[in-house]
Amino acid sequence: MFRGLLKKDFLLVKTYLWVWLAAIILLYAAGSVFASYKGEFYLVFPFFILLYMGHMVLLPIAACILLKAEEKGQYWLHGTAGGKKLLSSKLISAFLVMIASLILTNLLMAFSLFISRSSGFSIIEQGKFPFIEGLLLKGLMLNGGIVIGALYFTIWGLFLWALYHSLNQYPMLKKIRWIIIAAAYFITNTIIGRMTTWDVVQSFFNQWTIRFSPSASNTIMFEGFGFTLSDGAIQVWPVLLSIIGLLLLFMAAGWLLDRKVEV
Amino acid sequence: MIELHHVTKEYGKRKSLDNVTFTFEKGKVYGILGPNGSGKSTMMKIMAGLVYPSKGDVTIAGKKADRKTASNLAFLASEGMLYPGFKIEQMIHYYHSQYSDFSIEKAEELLTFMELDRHQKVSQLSKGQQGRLKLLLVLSRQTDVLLLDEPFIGLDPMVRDTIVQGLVSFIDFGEQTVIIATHEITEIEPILEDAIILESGRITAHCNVEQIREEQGLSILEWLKSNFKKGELV
Repeated sequence: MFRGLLKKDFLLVKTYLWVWLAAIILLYAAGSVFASYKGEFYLVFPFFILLYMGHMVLLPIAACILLKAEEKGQYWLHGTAGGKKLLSSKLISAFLVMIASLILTNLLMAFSLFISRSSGFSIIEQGKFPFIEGLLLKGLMLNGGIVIGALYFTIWGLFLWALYHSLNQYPMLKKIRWIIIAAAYFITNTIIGRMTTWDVVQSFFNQWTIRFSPSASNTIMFEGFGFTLSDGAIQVWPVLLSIIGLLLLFMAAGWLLDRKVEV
Repeated sequence: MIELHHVTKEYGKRKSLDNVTFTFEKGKVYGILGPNGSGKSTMMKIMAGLVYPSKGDVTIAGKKADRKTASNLAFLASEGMLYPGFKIEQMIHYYHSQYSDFSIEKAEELLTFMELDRHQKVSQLSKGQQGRLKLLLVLSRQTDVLLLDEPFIGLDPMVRDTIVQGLVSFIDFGEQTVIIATHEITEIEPILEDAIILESGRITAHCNVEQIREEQGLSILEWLKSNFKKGELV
C-alpha cells in the first residue's frame, strides 16, 4: 500500500522534477558559456550559492505541489492508510526530488571546480583552491545543513497545512485561517528562541557536547533549530530536542489529517 | 447494516444534518433524494468516515465510522477521485495498490464494458468518460457497502444509461448495501428498493419503491413531488 502511495506521489511530481532539472542544466550551460566568453568563469560560483540556498525551499515547494494535488475533494483521505503514512509518502517523494536536484548541483559544482583548477583562474592560489582542503567534508556539511533546513521548513509546512484545512469546519475562523497559522508558527518559534537564551537552558545544553574539530572557533546558530557550534563543539541536546520536536509536529499533522481535516 | 443515531452535523450555526436517525439494511439499494443543500453529500461523507458528526454516531456493521471504514466501503465522490495527469491504467493500478479488495479482473471487465481506453490520460477524458472511470474504480472493489454521491452529475442521458447498466450488471444485489444520492431519479428508479427524502438536513419521508408503485400507483418522481411543496425542488 505504501509503495502504491509513493508511486502515485512520484507520478504527481515527476514532470515538475524533469522540468526543474532541465532548467538547472540550461541555466548553468547558458551562464557558464557567457562567463567563459567573458573570460571570468568564476562568475558561475555565485549562481551555485543561490542554487544551493534554493534547495531549502525546493523541498517545501515539492511537498506543496503534492498536497495541492489532493486539495480538490480531499479524496486521498478515503483509504486505509492513516494520516502519517499519507504525509510520509508526500515527504519522501518531495525529498527524492530535492536529493536528485542536489546531486545534479553537486555534479555541476564539481565539474566547475575541475574546470576552474585546470584553467588556472585568478581565485586559485598556488594551484589550489583556498578552500579545497577538506572540500568533501565541507560539501557534506553544506549538503547536510541544506537537507536539515529543508526538512525543518517542510515538516512545519505539513503541520500548518493540516492545521489550515482542519479549521475548515469552523466558519467563524475560516476567514482568519492565514493569521492563525502564521501566529502558530511565529509564536512557537519566538517562545523557543527566547527559552534557548535563558542561562539555565544554556547550561543544560552545555552538559552534553561533542567536539568535532579542535581548530574551529566559530559559533553558528540555526534559527528555529537552535543548535550551537562553538569552539569546535556541537551541543547535542538542542539537536535531539529539535528532532523530537519535528517528529511531534509530524505526528500532530498526521493526527489532524485523520481526526480534524474533513472533506 | 449502517446505523445513523441522532446524527447532527453543524458548520457554525448552520446544520447540514439535523438529528438524523435511520438504518440502512444490508443488501438493499437506497436512493437519497432531495434538493441542493439538503445534506445528501454530508450524509454520504459521514457514512464514509470522511466527515465526523457534531452529535450522534454512525456505525457500519457495528463499528464506528471513521477513516478505516474505507477498508470495506467504496465511495464514489462527486469530485477529487481522479488525478488528471494519470493514464486510466495508472489510476487502476493505484486503486489496486490501496484497496486489498480491488479486483483487477473485474476492472478489466469493466474497462471493456465502459468502453474506456486504458492508455488515455484522465485529463483527455470527457465528463462522461470520467464518470464511467469513477464507477469502474468503485465497482472493481468487493465491498459490503457502496456509496455513490451524485454519479450522474453533468452527464448526458446516454452516459447515465451506461452507468445504470453498469450498476445492474456489477452490483452484488442482496449482498452489497448500495446508497445513491442523486437528483436524476428517473434513471435509477428501476434499481432502487427504498428511497428517502432529505430536506434541510432532516429525513422527511421514506418509502419502499415497489410498495409505492403497487399501492399508490406512483413513480418515485411523483412520490417525491407529492412530498414537496410546489417550487421547492431545484
